[in-house]
Amino acid sequence: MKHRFIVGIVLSLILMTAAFAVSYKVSERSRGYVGPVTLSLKNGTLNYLSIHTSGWTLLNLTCNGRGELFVKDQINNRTVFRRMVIAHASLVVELPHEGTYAVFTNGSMFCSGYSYGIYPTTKVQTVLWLSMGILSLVLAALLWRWWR
Amino acid sequence: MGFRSFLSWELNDPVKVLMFLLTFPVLSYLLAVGYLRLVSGVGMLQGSAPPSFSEGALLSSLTASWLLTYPSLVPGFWILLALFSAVVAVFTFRYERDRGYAFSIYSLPYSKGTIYLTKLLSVIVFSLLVSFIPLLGVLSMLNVDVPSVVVAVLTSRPFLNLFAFTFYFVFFVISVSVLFGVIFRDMFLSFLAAFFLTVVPYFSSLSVPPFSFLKGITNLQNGVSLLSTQYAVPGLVIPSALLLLSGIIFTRRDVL
Repeated sequence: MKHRFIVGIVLSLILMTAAFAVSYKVSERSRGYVGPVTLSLKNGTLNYLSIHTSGWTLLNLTCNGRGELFVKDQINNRTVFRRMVIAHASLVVELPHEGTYAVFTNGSMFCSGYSYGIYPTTKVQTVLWLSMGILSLVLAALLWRWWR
Repeated sequence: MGFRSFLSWELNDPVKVLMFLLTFPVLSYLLAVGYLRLVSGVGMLQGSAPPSFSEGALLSSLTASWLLTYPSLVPGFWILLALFSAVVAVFTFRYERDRGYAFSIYSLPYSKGTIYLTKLLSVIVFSLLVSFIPLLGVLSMLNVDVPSVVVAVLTSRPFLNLFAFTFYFVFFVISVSVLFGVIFRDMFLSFLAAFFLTVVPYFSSLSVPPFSFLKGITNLQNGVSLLSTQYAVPGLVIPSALLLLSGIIFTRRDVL
């Protein structure tokens, strides 16, 4: 086959996409830990927690203190979670997609948390499978054209 | 322009394409597993709510800084990249002699300098493809929910510097491997020497050239200078000198 290099590149791109899909199988089992951290709003100074997640995840937060707890999607400027905490709370916060989130309060509390794992969002899955399909079609076309 | 068919012959070498095919998905997998994490940091500001990142400030988000620093925290990627570059470089410069088809190459109507540069170019193309595309793939395919961050990182200066450091890394490994491939008379021996000189110091946590560039990648957002002596000498000057030396050795001696 004459154009082995180009066919190799297209095939390795397909394999790369498959490797990304497989890597989520590992990240679904990798736990992430957050805190323990003191969140407070005192005299106009806000102490907050900044979280980056690389996909959909559930954050199990345990908070002690008093005040209203907010989780804000800092990239899309949206509050994704809002709950009143009195004395003690065990919360499950859904972080809907990758990005940076800020956990903060208007009172004062002490929080820690963990996530079970990171899952691909629907959009990511669509992109992975779609690109795999398109690249396979390209590869099939190249092989059909250049075989022998 | 006469070297183009020779370059295409070097790029279409079945063994090299096979090594590329084996290494590429593994490197992508290692990078993706290193990237898919939950990372947190503590912040403090004046006001009652953290700001949302508008267009200009996206680079200061935790996602952007994680996208720029995570490659330095994936040692497996760099070790395998060094292995691949060393194997391909040594293979390109030694296999023909070990296998005995070197005479049919050197009887082609090319000068020895052209043959040397063409082989070098093919090695650099393979090594850069195998390192750049997974970096781009992790950035663009795993972050499709936040396209604004992807665009901001992709067009930023630190991301360009990340690619420059990757080039330094690959360039250093290639230059050392090519020198050994030209000096020693056996493929395995050359590969072993190149491997010991480039990768083994990392395991003893010495901060010597190829892996000392990872420190530069950690400091990408603190305005690290690519052309400072700390990085430019081992990244550009030493490899260029080694490649020049191996070019002289390559052109001055007999084929076998």
